[in-house]
Amino acid sequence: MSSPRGLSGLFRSRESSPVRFLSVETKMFHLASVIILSFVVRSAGCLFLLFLSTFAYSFFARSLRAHFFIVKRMIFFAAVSVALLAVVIREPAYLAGTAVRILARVFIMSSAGILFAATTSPTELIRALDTLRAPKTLIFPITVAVRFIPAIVRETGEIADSLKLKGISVGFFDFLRHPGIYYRAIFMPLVIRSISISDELAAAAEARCFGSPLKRTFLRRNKVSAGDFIFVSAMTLFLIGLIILDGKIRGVF
Amino acid sequence: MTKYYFTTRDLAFIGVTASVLVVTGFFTGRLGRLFVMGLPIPGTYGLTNGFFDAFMGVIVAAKIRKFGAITLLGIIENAIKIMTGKPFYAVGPAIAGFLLADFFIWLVRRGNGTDFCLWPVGGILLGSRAIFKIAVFYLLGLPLLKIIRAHPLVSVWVILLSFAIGTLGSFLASQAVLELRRAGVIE
Amino acid sequence: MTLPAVKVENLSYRYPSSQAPALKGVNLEIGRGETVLIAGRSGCGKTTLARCLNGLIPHFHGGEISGKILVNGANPLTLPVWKTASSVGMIFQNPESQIFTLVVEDEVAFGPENLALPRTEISKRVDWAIAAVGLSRLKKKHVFELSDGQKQRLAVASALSCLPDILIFDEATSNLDKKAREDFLVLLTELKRRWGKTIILIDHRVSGLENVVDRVVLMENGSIAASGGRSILSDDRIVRKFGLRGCVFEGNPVFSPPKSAGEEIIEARSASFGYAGGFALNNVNFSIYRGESVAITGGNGSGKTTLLKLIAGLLKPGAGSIRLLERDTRKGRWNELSRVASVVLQNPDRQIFMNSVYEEVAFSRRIADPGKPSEEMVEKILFRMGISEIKNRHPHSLSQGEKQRVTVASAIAKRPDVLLLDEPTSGMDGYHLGLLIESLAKLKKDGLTIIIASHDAELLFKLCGRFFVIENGKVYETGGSLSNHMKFFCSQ
Repeated sequence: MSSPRGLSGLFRSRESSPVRFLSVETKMFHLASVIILSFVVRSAGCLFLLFLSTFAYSFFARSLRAHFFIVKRMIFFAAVSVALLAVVIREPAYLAGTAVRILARVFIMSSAGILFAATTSPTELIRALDTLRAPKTLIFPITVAVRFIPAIVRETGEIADSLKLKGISVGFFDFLRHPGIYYRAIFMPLVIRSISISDELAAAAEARCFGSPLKRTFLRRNKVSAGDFIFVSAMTLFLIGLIILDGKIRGVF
Repeated sequence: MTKYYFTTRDLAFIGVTASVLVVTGFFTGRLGRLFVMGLPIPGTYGLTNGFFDAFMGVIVAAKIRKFGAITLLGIIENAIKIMTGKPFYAVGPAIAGFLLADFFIWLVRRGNGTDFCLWPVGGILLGSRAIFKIAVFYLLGLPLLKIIRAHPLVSVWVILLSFAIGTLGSFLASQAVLELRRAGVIE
Repeated sequence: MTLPAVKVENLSYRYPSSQAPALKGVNLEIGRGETVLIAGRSGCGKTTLARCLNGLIPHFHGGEISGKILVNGANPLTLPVWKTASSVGMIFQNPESQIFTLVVEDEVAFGPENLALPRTEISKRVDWAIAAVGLSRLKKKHVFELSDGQKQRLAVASALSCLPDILIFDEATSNLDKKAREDFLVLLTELKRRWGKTIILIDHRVSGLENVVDRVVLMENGSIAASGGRSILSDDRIVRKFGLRGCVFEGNPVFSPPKSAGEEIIEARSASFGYAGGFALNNVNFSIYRGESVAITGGNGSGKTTLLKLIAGLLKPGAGSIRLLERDTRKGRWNELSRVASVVLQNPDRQIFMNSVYEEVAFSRRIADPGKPSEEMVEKILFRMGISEIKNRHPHSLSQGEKQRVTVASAIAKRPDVLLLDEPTSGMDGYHLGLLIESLAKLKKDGLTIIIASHDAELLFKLCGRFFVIENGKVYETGGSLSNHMKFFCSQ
């Protein structure tokens, strides 16, 4: 199993990213608008522009590294998909049209998501969810989930190491050959470790007043700055422009 | 004293499990589509990770034993996945699948069924999720591949495959629950 | 008259999943400002008692409880945990699983934030708590960049920010090396002297505590079996009876020269390895011969585990070579290398997965020699490791000490040429340590080559004849004296 370094880098921002002046709410706006727009926009040229804008933002946010580890897998699978499609549907024009566009959309959405996750710290996220009045029943498990992604990656790696040390190879084809062994050797320890980690964590949370029914306050608040207004305005103009351009290309407007 | 429906212990376990599912989703997300035919067909994306959803869903249901536990798991998992770029139209069907599975668990518990009776949970979870996803594509008029328009039976195969993978996941999990109880890991 | 900090009367408790009571008629009184050690073997009920004091039992764990508890004059059995938590802070064993955020000050603010305090008050408390544990310089630091000792200080600051009068440390130093543990004990003394905190230590490692605690309470089978002043920690009889570790071990290692006439099992030649983060082992050279018992020691994070993984072939040297019975670890296949070297990693929970102890050992045997009958050999190994009686139990239902012996049994079932153990006694009490040493001594007598990465003096001195020390990325053998390296050794 390869080390998912990119995955460990998500939700671990130190709030020192070049886009730290943007509030989480603004980044959420960017994520939501890119996801929705990737479906609204249909022309290849506009999809490419949308992709470019996400890429440029990632470059500016210095999150291309986290991006790279994850996106390269997507490129691989997209390439396999297109290759298979070429065999199944022998129509190059169709392939260059609909199928590539579908894959491009998935690519854009994932990129925007990685960008959000790579530039947002768990604390910022929790403060934003609290501002959006999300209930405690949602906020706490999300806190735990984003905090423990690196820990689970490490646990999985260490379980895989202990398998290798027993003389059991850990690879995709080994899994297909001996699914029973992997089911026991990876799942059971992972489930048992998840249970013990969550019990320790819950006890520690209780011991630090987590069960209090009072409305939680925060040491710091996410601030909305002038940068947010500028970014949201620019983004809105870009989105409107893109929709108009797409409409013109397709002859809707 | 204020009593919450879900205890801190429940929420922590749901959080850690969601974390496990995000990690396994990263590894397996696209493999499902590759296994089926490598085509972007609705419902195939989550096939392999659906196995993990089904497996961990039953573990969560057996440990927490409250209505809504695996729906909450689905919400948390999908909330994180949408923050990492999961398409918005896939979130609703995914959560609806968890909710249906939760209703099934509730019925099993009302009928005093044991944890072993939870083996169909995964089939319901994944099967209904595939149906909902395909329905969303048709309803929203999202661009479909020519191959699906030409051969609607592909969708039926996707649903059957989802059901089978989910059932396998939850069947293994129901066995694992018995073992975890024997080991005293869950009460 | 001042109320005692803690008053427990006739307390009994049973966990929901257990038939046997975990506590039986416990009576205890702790005065304000006192530092009390509650000690005893693993499973004696000391952690259970601590969890009753802060209300986690019964509110969090459930179960049946009877008797009376007063903490700061309030009853934690009826108060919600969050209210008790404002007067009783608890620091747990594993710093990783008590940290919720990524930045030091955010982590310390977690408790006061839950209490819905105004921002200015939270800020004041955070600054004070961070200063009290000496982490002011690291206020804005990422928690993953802290050392284990700093993480445990952070856990103390996080508890302190709720302004508790009583602090409970539940085996809080078990992951720390000697230096970090000593620094931590100084912090405890400070908390008592400067801030007047009542401190309750739960531990079976008593090394260094003789100068810190005022009183010792010893538990056995869920009851308080003895108590007294700090001097009882020097009583050898008491230490042995209650499975404690530390103060009275005064053994010395018996050095043995390299058996260079024998077969060379491991050969490291100019081997170097570096992680992306910057840590590296440089120019490692040594030879280990058949039948030797070798200790690898060094501080936390010095690279002991990395060296073991390099020897086992799990990590590949970036330069130079490590050879296992003539096989270059960079080129060897997993199944070949793992047959030569069996490794027991620190946490047994990640290594055991079969549904009975017998199956766990038999599985390893089957992997090593598929198709060969293994029943007799498995039975023999179970007997040798002293786990025959529990062979039908589920491995995850065992105590940590028993699990560790199961992982060793599973490792030797492959009949390896060399057995590598990574911190095998972490968190182990004196009783289980004795059993493990006994089992390993038998294997040593059988001629098995054993390499142990640890800083546990008792384990290493009783078993090993050669000592390697890792310091600043360099590995060197100590020769016939350890006087310059005693700083690395402590009781687990």
